[in-house]
Amino acid sequence: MADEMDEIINEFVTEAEETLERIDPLFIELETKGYNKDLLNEIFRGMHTLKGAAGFLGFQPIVDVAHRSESIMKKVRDGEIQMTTPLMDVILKSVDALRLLISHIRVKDGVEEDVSALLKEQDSALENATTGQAAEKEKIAEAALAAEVKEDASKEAAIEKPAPVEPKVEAAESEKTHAPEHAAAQQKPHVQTITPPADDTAQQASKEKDVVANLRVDVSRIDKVMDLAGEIVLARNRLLNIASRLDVVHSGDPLVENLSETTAFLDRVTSDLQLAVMKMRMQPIQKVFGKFPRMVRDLARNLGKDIDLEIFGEDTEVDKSVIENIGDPLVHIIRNSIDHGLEFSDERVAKGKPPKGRIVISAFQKGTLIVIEVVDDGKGIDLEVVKRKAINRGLITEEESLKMSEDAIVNLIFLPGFSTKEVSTELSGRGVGMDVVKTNVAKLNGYVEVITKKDVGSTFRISLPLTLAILQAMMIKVGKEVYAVPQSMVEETIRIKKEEIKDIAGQKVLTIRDRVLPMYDMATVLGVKNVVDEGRDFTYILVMVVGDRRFCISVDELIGQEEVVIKTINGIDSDECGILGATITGDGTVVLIIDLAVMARGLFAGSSK
Amino acid sequence: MDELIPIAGSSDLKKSSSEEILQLVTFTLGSEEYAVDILKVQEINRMKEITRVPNSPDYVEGVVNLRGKVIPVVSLRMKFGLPEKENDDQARIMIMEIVGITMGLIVDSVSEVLRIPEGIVEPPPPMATSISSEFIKGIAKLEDRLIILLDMDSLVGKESDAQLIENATKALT
Repeated sequence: MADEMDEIINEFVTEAEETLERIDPLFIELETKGYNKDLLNEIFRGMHTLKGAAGFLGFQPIVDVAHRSESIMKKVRDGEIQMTTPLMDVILKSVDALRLLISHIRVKDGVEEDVSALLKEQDSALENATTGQAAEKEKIAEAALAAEVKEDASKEAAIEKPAPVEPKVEAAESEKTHAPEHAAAQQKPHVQTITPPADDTAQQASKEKDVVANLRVDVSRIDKVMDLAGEIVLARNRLLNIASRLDVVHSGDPLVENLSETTAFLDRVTSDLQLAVMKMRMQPIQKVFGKFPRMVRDLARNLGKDIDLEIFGEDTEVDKSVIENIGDPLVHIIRNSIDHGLEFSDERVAKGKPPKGRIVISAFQKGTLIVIEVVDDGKGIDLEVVKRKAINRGLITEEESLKMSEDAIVNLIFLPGFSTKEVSTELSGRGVGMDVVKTNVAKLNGYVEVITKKDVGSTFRISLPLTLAILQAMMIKVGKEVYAVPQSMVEETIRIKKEEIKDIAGQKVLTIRDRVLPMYDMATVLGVKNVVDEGRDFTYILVMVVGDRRFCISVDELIGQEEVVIKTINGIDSDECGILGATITGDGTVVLIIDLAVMARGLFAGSSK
Repeated sequence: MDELIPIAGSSDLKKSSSEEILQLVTFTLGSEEYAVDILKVQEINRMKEITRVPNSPDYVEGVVNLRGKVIPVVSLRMKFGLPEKENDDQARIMIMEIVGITMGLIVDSVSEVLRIPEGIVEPPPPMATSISSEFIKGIAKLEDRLIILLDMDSLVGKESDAQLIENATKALT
């Protein structure tokens, strides 16, 4: 029984969190759009579902807070009171309180938050908004609830019979026998709120479909499938290899032809399987973006800045791990833009810009990469200030600063302990921040670029691979060692004559289609010993693009392109060694995958390290 | 497991009644004999192909494929600052879990499984061995030989390696 109860509570917590997550951005939308019945209804329904479920489980503080919020929303919806900023503040506060209460339930720490102050605040806010009707307040609130329940009940009547159970929700504790029905009743409205409003019959049909179409699956199970799919990929690669070798030796043999045909089929199916499993882990980035409108609003209000936020591409799907890890970096970037980037209105007007600052957050897929951009039209990053600060903090020397490119200077902001604003604010001046951006993004095998122009604004661009488990790699050979290089960063591979390599002030360079690119020797970079110079007069070159840097790497041999499964190595400092991870090839040997971002950083030393 | 090691049982010493018995795996590095708690050792493998990791500390020999898992392999000789030696067919990779990280340790040879009473283990004398005393838990005095008991956790737990653990845990979470 205890387990069952746990399960019910967990279910409740998950749903409640989802509900809050869903309605949170709606408040902001409401504030910008003004009165909008659909939005209000949506919020109202969310609150109501939450209240009902909490009541059934006996979480009284949640019921109290949700109930009062619901009453306020109800009045606003019915046009009895106007949505004012103070009212909105109270409601948003309530949402935060609900989130806190729910988090306590989730971690089961038994902490009881005192919500009485908030309840009073809610009451007085409602009272203030309804002055004149203050005397009737209680009655109206009650009536509102009753009316609402009726309305809801009539809506749901077509779908389910136990609708009359709804009004009794708060008394549910004494009705243990009805518990299963209650649980069902609580679940159904939740599904219903997701489906767009439609007439009753259509709603019923789509609702039934929804119940079948969605499954809550433990992530670890999906990950297990993902791992297994990875192993199949390896086995397939090996089979393909064997089949093609057999084909060479016994060409024309019908058995071998059969094998080739079957492996070709397996090849296709495996690719599809891989994609399908990958998709299972994909979620719309809305999950992360959803909290930004609220955050931007709060920050803007605190700082007294006027800001417009635009969000694009929120339905872009990304891997679950991206959803989990990209939130913090984005929060830091956005805070930074609001706090340091965007100017106050008068300052903006003086510069001839529109008084309202603008932040655009967008996500889109570009080839095999997911790109997330945060663009502001603020004052841009002042390179001189950054440089001076870095010198003051001993991050670079005066001498170094003279040699640094603009790009390198901008990247100084990612160093730990860097903060450019003279006066620290509680928002972004805590000395942590931008370095978190870099480490978190690096964890996802991605990289960050900054484009900034004085008084025009800054763009932070985060590029991430579509999936973290499987990588298209170029297999290369250096001396006797084989390495894998992420294909996404290899622009082209060419064979050149050694005499084409020129030397400019100690730096080897190569001219490719009229562009002079720096060239490095992979063997030297990786410290490969025993490289025998076979006296060849040619070498192979990989042209790499990492962020906006382009350079050449010479290798001894190009083996070919392969799909590899990335395995992390515990116990090796992969950042220090410049490797992304390892992969196991068809014959069982371990091949290291080179982390080009780290390698590039090392090569352009002095720029950011 | 590539080879099975017969349990030596209590051949070396008679069990004294009240004392705790330690079960150890002993191995050699150079002329000295070392031992680790048997529970730390997951398996013992013959040398296999090791993939070198560029820019890693010199005691990290590389990584190997342990049934689909990629694990780092450390040369205990290098870690202890002993002279380098080509790995011959006596050399073994001992797979251990040290502070949560599965890793392989290369030793010159693996000798036996030993049961000794805890009482014969003495604290390490400051200067008696060729390796730094920070890795030593104690010294077991047997009739005809001395065995150095190693504290495997300290092998990874010190200074620069703290970073290593941190990264490992980061990778894990």
